[in-house]
Amino acid sequence: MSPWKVFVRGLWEEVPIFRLLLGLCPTLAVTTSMVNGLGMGLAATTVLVGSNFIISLFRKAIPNKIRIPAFIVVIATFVTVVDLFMHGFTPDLHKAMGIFIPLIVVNCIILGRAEAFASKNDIGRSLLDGIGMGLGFTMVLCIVGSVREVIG
Amino acid sequence: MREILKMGGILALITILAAGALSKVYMLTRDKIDQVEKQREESARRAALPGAAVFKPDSASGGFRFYRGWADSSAAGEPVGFVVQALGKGYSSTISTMVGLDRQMKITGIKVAFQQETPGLGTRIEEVKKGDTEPWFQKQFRGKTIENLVVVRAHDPERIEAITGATISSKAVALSVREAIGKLEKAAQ
Repeated sequence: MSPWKVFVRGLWEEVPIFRLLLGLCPTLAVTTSMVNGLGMGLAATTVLVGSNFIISLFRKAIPNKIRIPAFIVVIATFVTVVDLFMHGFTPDLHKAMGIFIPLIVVNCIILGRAEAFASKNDIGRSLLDGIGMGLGFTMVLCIVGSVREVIG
Repeated sequence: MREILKMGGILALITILAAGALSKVYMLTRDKIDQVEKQREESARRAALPGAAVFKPDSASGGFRFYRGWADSSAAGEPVGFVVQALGKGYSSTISTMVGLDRQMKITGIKVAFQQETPGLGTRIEEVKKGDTEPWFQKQFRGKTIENLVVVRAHDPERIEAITGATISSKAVALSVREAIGKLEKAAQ
């Protein structure tokens, strides 16, 4: 698969939520407005890209048997980092999203990409995959958020 | 047995690295977060006691802390009122509320500063109705005194109407506000 293909897959062919039906819980929870959807999408994208990078980097060092707990530790670390930065620098968005920021840890798209892609592919492709999937997720959250903001 | 130790060791190493990275990020963001929280508290105090421009902390015996607010920034003469923080155990969090009172101990306003109640139920203590500017639940407290702070299930201008499906959160706010006013009455005399 070409690097371009890896990137665009997340935007159309395998766009999370609409095609993979992953990540429905945060979708329902935070898409009350466009801005909240965008914030959640970008936060999840940051975590996804970070975790894909680290997991791909250490994919040969992490034993198969403990891969899931190892992935969760990596993801939880990134989520906490994002949580702290949002608290400090975008306090209003942080307050609006509240409990759903720490819950990015259990966002199944992120663990799904770690398991299905980053643990089997090189760093470059994993980064592209993370960015593509993350932007696809963000796009859908913005669309759903816009619709819900208008209709109420 | 050896394998368990090996796997456990690797996992321990990963978590130690993660903890190290997190402590760095925490140090980096701590000051900024403190600043944000201080500002939030300050704006909550302003919302609770709108007549005051400047606030000064005071404490009574037993470590009870409250703020006095003055209308003009020189803080001279008699204060226009008080602000006290109320802490109540809600359904899934400790709800922190700023309570503003005038000198007759009548509530000038309350502002929930922190809560992590159930989304869609308890979080409605901060729900703003369409076309309004402040949360309807908190608005009910304005102009009431300690005797009015009883939570009821129906609409009642003399008392506090509970949020449907979130009686625990509603009661937590009302009771903690009552308690805080009680303490303030003793302390401010």
